[in-house]
Amino acid sequence: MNYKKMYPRYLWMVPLVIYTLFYILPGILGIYYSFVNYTIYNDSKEFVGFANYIQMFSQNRFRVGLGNTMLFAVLTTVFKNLIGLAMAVALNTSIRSRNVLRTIFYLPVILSTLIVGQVFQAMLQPDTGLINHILSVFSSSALSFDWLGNPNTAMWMVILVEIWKGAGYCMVIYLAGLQVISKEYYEAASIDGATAWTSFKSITLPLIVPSISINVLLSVVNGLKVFDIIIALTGGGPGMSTQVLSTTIYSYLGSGALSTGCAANVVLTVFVIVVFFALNKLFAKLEVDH
Amino acid sequence: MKAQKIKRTVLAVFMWLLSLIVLIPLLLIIINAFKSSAEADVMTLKLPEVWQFANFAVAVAESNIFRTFLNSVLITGVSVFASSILGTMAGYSLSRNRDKINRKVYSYFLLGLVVPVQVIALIQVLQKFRMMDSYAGIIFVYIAMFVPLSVFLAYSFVSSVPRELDEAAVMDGATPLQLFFHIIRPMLTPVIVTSFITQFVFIWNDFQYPLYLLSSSSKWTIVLGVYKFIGQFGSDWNIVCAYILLSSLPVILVYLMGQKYIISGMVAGAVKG
Amino acid sequence: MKKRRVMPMLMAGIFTVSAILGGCSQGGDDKGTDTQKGKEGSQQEASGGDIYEYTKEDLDGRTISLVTSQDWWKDGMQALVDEYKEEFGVKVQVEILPSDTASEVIKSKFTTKELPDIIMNSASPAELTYMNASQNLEDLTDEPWVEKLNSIDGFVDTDGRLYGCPLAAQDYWGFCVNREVFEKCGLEIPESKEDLVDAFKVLQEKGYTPFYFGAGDSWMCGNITSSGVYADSQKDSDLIQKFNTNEMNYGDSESFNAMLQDLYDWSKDGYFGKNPMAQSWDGQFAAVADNECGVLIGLTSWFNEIDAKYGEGTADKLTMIPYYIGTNDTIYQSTSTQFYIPKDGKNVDVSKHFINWCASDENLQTFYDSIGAVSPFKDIEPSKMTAPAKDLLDKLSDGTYGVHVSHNSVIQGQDWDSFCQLLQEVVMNRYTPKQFCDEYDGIREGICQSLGLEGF
Repeated sequence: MNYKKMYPRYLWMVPLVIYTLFYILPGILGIYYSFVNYTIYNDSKEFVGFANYIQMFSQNRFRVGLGNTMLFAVLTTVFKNLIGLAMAVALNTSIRSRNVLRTIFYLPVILSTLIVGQVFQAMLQPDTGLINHILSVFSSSALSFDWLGNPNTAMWMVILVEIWKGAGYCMVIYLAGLQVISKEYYEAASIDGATAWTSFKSITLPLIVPSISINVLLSVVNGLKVFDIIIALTGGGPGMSTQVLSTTIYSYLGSGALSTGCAANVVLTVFVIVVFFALNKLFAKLEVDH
Repeated sequence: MKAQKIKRTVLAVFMWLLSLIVLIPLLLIIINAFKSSAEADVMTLKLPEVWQFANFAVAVAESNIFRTFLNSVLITGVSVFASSILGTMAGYSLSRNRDKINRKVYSYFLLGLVVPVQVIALIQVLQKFRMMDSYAGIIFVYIAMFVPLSVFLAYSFVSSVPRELDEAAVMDGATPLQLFFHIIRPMLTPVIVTSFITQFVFIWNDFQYPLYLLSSSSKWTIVLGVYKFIGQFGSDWNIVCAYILLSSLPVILVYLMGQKYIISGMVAGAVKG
Repeated sequence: MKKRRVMPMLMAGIFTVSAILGGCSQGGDDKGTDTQKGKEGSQQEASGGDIYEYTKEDLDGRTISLVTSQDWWKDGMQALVDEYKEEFGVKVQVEILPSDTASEVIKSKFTTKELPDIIMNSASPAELTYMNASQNLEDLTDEPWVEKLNSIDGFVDTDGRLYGCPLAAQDYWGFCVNREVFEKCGLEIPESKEDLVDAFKVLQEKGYTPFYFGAGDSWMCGNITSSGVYADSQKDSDLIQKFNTNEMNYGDSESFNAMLQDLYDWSKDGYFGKNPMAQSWDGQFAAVADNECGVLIGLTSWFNEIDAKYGEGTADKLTMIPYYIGTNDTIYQSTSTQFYIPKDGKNVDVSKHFINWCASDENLQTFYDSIGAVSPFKDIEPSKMTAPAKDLLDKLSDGTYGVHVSHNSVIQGQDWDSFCQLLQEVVMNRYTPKQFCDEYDGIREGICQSLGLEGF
C-alpha cells in the first residue's frame, strides 16, 4: 500500500497554514519587535539590540514578576498534582457515589476564571466575606483580615484559588491513568501480603508515570503562562505583590512600551521551553527506568 | 469483607465532606441568585427569605444576554468544531504515515502546546489581514491555538486503530477523505469528544482574547458580558449571581453530556501516548 | 458590598491596548489630507452661521450619537437631551460607558477613529495628546457660546484653540475634615500640615482612623500626590520645562520627595488606619456617614453624592482644607470634562446646534442648578450648592487658598498605572521614596525616549 496516497499531505495542510499564520508568525514577529524600538508613540522600528531586554531586567517590576511566576508555577503544580492524585485514588475505589463525586470535583475546571475570581473576591472580602465569617469562630480578629489586600497573603490566596480550580483536571487525568492498570497486579500483591501503601508505591506510582508526566508538564506550562486568575482576583496588586510575567507584559502594553512587552514575552517563551524540555527529558528517563 | 465495607463508607463520607470545599462557593452563587439585593449584600449561605425568581428576569432584561450568547455560540462552536476535525485529521495522517517530513510537521505542531501566544504581534498580524474586530479573526486564532492539542491527542490514539481497516476501505475504493470521515472518525469519537470539551470549556470561558481582538461590544461573548454586567450591577450581587448562573449553564450542560467520554478519551489520547 | 475595581480596569486596559494597536495603521496613512479637508469644511460651516437658526423643521427626525461616562452623565444633562428632542425632534442617542472603563474605551475610540457625533472626555493634557485635537476635532473657538465663558484660558489646547465645550462641573479636591469628629476630640480645623499631623495623633489616641485613605484603589494613591511638584515649581518657573527636557526628574524634586516621605511616614505611623489597602473610594461614603475617620480626600461634586446617598445635609459636617502634605498648602483643581465634536461626523451641524442650544442662559441655569456645582460660565451660579463646596469657593475667591494642577497633567511621559501601583508600594512601606523615584524615573525615561522628547 502506498502511504503517501492513502494519507495525503493535504490532510494536514489546512491546519498547518492556519497554525502558521495565526500562531507561529506572530511568535516570530514578536522576536523581531523585541529587538527594535517600537512603541505606540513611535513605530520607526529602528534596531536597538538588547536595549529592551536590558531596560526590562533593570526594573524591579519585572524581577518581582519573574519571582512570583516561578513561585506560582511550582506551588500550584505540586499541590494540584498531590491533591488530584489523592482524589483520583480515592474515587477509583468502588465507593458507590464515585461518579457524582467525580463530577463535583471536576466542576471548578469548567467554570470561567472570571466568575471564579468574582466569587472568591466576595468570599475573601474583609468583614462581609464568608471565609472570614467562618474563621472568626476561631479568632475574633480574623473577621476584618483582608486576604487579597495584604501584600503578604495576596499571592498565596491566588495560588490557593488556582489549586481549587485546577486540581479536578489533574484528577481526571490520573483517573484515566489508574483505569489502565490491571486489577491483577493488585490481587497478586495482596496475596503476597503487601500493604496498601507498598502496593501504591510499587505498582500504582510506576504505572502512572505517563499521567504524572502529562499532568506536571501541563501544570507547569500553564502555571508559567498564568494570567487570567491574577487579573480576576487581584489585578497584580496590591502594589506589585501579585505581578507575574504575563501581567507585566500586559502593563508594558498599557504604557505603550510594545517592544519591551514583546521582549518580556520572548523571555517567558524561552523560560517555558527550557522548563518543558528539561521536565520532558526527566520524565522520559523515568518511563524508561520502569 | 465487613472491614472493607466500613472502610469504603468512611472514605465516601470523607470525600463528601471534602466536596463541600468545591460545593460551597458554587452554592453561594446559586443561593444568592435568589435573594433580594439587601440580603445578598452580605454573601452568606443563609437561604433567602423569599425566593426572588425575578432576579433572572432582571438579568435577562438588563443585559443583551441573547446577543452575547449567540456570539459565544458562533465563536466557540465554529472554532471548536473546526479545530477538532482539522486537528484530528492532521494527527491521524501524521501518525499513519510517519515519514521524515511528517515527523517534522508533527514536532512543529507540538510547539504550539508549549509556546505562549505573542499577543502584540498577533494583533498586528490580524490587522494586516484586516481581521481585527471580526468573528473570522478570533475564530482563526482559536483554531490555531487548539489544533496542536487535537493533533497531539489524535496522533497517539490512532495507533490503537488497526491499520487493516484502512487497507480494506482503500481496497473498496474509498478516497482519503472518505476513509477518514467514514471509517476512522467514528473510531476516534472519545478523542474528538475529549478535545472538543476541553476546547469548548476554554473558549467559552475565555475573556482574554475577545478583549484583545474584538473591540466592538456587539461582538462580545457571554463571559465578557459578565464583566460588563458586573461593572453595571456591582452592588446588586443577587442580579450578578443570576447572570453568572445563566451564563455558565451552557458549558455545564456540554460537560455533563460529554462527561462519559472524557476519561476514556484521556486514557486513549494522553495517558498512553 | 465594597468591590475591587482592579479587574475591570485592567481589562479595559487590555481592550485599549489592542484597539490602539489595531487602530495605528488604519489611522496613519492619510492624515495630512484629512486635516486639511477637515479644516476647510469646518470653517465654511462656521462662517455660514445659520446653523444656529435651525428650527424644528430643519432638524426633525435626525439623530446624533453621544458617548459619555456614568460619572459624567448627570440627570441635568439627560433633561436637556429630552427637552432638545421635544423642541427640535432630534434624538440624541446616548451611550453611557461604565465609569471604571470609560476613559480607556474613549481612548480606544480615538485611536480606532470610531467616533460618535459628540464625545465627552476629560480635558487634561494627557487626553488632549491622544485626542490630537487639531486633527480629529472641530475647532470651537468661534462658536457663539464661547464668549459666555469666564475665561477660555483653562480650556484651550496648546495651540490656543478651543476644541471642547466645558459644560460640566469645575471640580476642586481637598482634604475633608469631619468637624463632628474633630469637635468630639477637641480639635480645631487644621491650618497647616503641622496642625494636621498633630490632629492625627489625637484622633489616633481617641480610636478614630485619623485619615481614611482608600489606597486599595491605586488611583487614589496617585491623586494624593497631585501637589507633588507644585511647591518646587513656584520657586522655579522653568521646572516643568526641565522635567520635559530631562534636566531633572521626580527624584530631584524636593517637594515631591517631601510629599512621598509624608505618605510613607503617615502610613507607617498608622494614620491611614490598620490596612489602607483594604480601604477604597467607595468605602469613603460609609467612613463619612459613620464618623469613622477625622480626615479624607474629597471633591466639590462628591458632596452631592453623599447627600444623595445618606440624605440632604449629611455632607455639611465636612470642611475642605488644602492637600496639607509635603510642603503643599493649596487646593487641587482638577481638569473638567468637555464636550467634543469629532470632525468626520455626518452631523457636525446638528451637534454644534445642540451644544449652542445647551449653552443658552436658561438651559445653563437649569443645568447648573440641577448639578449644584461650580460653573465656568459668566453669571451662572447654581441656586443651591452644598455647604462645604460653597465654603471652599468663598475661600478660593477671597484668596485664603490657592490652587494647583496635578503634575501628571503637565509633566510628559507618564505611565499612570505604574505610577499609582508603585505608590501603593510606598503606602505599604515596601518601597522607600528613593526606591520609588528610581524605579519610576526609569520607566518615565523610557517613555520619553520613545516619545522622541528633546534631551532624552
